[in-house]
Amino acid sequence: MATHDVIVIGGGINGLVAACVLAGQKRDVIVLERRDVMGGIAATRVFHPGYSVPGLLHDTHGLRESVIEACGLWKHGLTLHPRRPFLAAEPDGHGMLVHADTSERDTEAYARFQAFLARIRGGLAALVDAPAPSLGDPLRKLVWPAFKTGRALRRLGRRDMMELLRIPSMCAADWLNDWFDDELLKAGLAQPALLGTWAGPWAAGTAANLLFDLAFAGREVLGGPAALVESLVGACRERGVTLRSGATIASLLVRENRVHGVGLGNGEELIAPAVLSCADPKHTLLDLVPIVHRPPDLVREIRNLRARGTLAKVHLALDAAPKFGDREPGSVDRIRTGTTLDDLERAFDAIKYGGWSDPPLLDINLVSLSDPGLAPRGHHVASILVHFAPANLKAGWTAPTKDALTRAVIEEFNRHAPGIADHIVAREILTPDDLAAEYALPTGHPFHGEHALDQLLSMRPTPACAQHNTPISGLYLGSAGTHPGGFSPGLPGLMAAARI
Amino acid sequence: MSHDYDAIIIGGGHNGLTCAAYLAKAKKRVLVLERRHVLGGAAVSEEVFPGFTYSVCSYVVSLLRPDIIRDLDLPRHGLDLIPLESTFTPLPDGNSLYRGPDADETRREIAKFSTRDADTYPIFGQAMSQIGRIVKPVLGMTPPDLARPSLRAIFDLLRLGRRFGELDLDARTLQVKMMTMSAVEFLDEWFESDVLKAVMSISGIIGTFQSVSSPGTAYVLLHHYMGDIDGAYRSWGFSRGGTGQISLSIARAAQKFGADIKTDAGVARILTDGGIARGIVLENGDEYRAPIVVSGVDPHLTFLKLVGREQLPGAFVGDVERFKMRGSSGKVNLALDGLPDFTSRPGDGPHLRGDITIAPGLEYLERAYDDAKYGAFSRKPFMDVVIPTLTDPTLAPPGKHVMSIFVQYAPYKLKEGPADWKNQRDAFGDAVVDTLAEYCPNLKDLILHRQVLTPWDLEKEFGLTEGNIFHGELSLEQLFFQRPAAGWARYRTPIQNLWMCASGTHPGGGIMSAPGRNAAREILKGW
Repeated sequence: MATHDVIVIGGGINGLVAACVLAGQKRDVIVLERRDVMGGIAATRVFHPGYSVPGLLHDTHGLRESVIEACGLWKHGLTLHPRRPFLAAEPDGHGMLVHADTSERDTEAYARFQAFLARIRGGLAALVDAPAPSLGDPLRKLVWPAFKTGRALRRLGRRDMMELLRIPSMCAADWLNDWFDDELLKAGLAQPALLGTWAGPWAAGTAANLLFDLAFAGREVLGGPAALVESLVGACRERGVTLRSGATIASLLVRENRVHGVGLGNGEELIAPAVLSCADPKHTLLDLVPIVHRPPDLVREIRNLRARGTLAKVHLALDAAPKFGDREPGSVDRIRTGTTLDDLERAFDAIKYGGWSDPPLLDINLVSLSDPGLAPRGHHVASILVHFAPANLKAGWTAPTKDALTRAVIEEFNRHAPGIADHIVAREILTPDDLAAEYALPTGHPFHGEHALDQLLSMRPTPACAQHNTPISGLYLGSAGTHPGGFSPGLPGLMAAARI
Repeated sequence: MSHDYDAIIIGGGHNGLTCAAYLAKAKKRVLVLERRHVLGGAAVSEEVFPGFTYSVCSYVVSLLRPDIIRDLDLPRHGLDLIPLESTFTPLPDGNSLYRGPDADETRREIAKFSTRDADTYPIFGQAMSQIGRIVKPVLGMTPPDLARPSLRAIFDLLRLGRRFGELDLDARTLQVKMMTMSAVEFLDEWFESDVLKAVMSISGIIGTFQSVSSPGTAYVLLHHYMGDIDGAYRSWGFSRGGTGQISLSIARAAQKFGADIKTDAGVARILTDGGIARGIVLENGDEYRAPIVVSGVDPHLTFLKLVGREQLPGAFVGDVERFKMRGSSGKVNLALDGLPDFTSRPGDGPHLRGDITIAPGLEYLERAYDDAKYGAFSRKPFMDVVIPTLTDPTLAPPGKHVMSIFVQYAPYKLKEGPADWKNQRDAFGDAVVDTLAEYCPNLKDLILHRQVLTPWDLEKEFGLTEGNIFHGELSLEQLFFQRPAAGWARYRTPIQNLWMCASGTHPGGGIMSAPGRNAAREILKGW
């Protein structure tokens, strides 16, 4: 029976960050990963011999300096580069390149918008980088954090402070309409607000998602999420973390409301006074905690955590670079479809009735353009996020429905990059069901819980667990399902480690 | 300079009249100016067809503050509220759900759909009333100005905080959820039956351009749970003589205290001089001057039309312009030759005396919203129907009835533009009657007269910008210290001596008269 100081469940980015930080404090840490490789959804995925994607999601710009410093990642090959522009694409049209600092249309408004975001970044950071205040604390304990937050906000000046108070409960569409006239620009900018939500751009609260995404627009990790994993694995190894893959957890070992280890699927038991679960909170509290130790109130609360998968992934191996409109093939690598806010809203409408958006709303990343090693020479890989393909598809996810969605995605891709359909060498689709099965995501939700106003800050994942602890002593939560959510890779893990 | 009046109030709606009554009660000489020939604004009764009196716009009352009723002694001036106790939801499959004053009967009715929900229902009611009691005092308070925090604002915030601090974790959680969730998600945590959730969620969307699954609508749900008539929570009521009687009783109270009220006196402009309000000019050119001017019309109308952009700071104009109006509802008033007969519950009965709600399922409500999002009225709308003549026979000739149908969604901005409502008004009325007739087939034969009010009509006739019945959406970013704009939620305006007193200010719309009373209190403070 092996003994450790801390057992970390789940070797995704949050688990690795937490393990690395704890090991840095001279603790004996073991990470247990269910899959054969570390990284969770950020791990490299070989979807066809010779072709791979560097993780399932595309963005790494939310990575905080605090995470990099705490894990000493500079020493382990982490390289950041400026955020690349995306193409707000039009079918058969020129589209528009949107850079971090300039856009091809509505240029002046965009510059003012970015200046506003730059001004409020500090105020927002005060909210997100600090642990979420506990809703259950007596008032006197809430006054001080409230005062500190208030003071940080006051520094923004009156106008910006009032804006920052106004935006979060708005819908993304209203907020963007306040700033811009150009429909294509608004549609392109709005897409990140919908990632992992059950909401269209006209739903209140989506502006908060957009605000977080835009305000944390730092630099990107060269090589994508997989490169971050690689660097974290290096850092963990250096600090002596035991990384164990292929380890399924059967159950947590709990005695008198105190965790003292985990039982593995193979019957083995590992002992530790603290267990940090970076698996999703639902799985942790509803499956891993033995039934007699589950507090009934918590069970009710955690069941109510909404984590409805709405995202599918399509991976395409291509023998040529796609050409968007009159742009040079290979000149853009990030492409978002949808030309109006209403296009995005219509895409969402479909899932309300159990269908997928038709045409599907796409976020395409031509990952091989910046990292040619992901495909054979001259070939390319398109990593495509498909918004609004619901886990609870009315027709069910079967071979025919999966094939139909893949074809719809390819058709939509081809509409924007004519001819690309003839250059597909291999393809793969991961529906929310596949994501759930393969990556142990609750109904396929990449953030373990939707980003919604009532599921952020002190409410994430439930008010009783929002400080990364649980009613079971020694058991901590550190996944994207906890504060501050999936906006910033590794930050929940860092906060959970600090809590321990 | 001497003035005939101490204060001029623009608009004889229930809030303008309430403000007038409180100012007059404090011995101020007050003049109320109403553009139409009748008082009441959107809380108005009119004999639209000979013998048939309608509550033309708003048709039920729940939030009228009891302290205001007492302060102004409204029952003496003709206010008579009749409880409205039931909700009847017919379904297309011949089934129905009836919730009434008899708890056992309601339980049995809900149990037809889910026994679990039948058990949960009373517990939910208690939880909501509990939150309602906590939130309610907020309705009567002047929002703190977070933009220029003073000692007073900090004190106000602490007081609010203390109220929150008294709650346990569960109650705090519920409160936070209420403020941030959608009506459906909120109800999902309690109930499983689609029919029950649908009919309960509609309180969250009345008068807003949101769907039942849009965050923020759970709060509006609460808004409708805070209603109390004679101290009984969650009850709704009719006003004898129509909702206009409420306005008239307030008007009589104001007059008793010495206020002057003029109808057919539309205000064309607010006179300002060096950033100070001096009086108003009527459409006929008459001028009235007074040291205080109070606007009882919505913020768009007040600032963009009556004051004028050029008189205001640019940033404030921007704030007003982006204050969302977005009318989403219409009204169809019918004169009937007899009572409608519902397939799912034939004949007369208590189910006809309460609310009759056409909201047969969540998907139905979502589809109704989807039509409106893209600029068309709902082909199958959500409807809230009442037949006030069953409890107040004075409104129609013997044996005849009036039926009031609140219809959502009817977007002000049609794809073809708002003015196209002229061409679509009849089609809209037909869609409403056709949909309702699916549930009571005899309806069409009973119709003697039909009045259709689209959002465009509400704007033209009642001065409600974009037809918004609440003078601005009740979305989270337009409430409390941000209603109608951050820094201007304390009934004051950037124009000195010009005040606001209507639904575009905290705590918002509905016949509650709280904005009118709160405004009067603030005005009198500095006097």
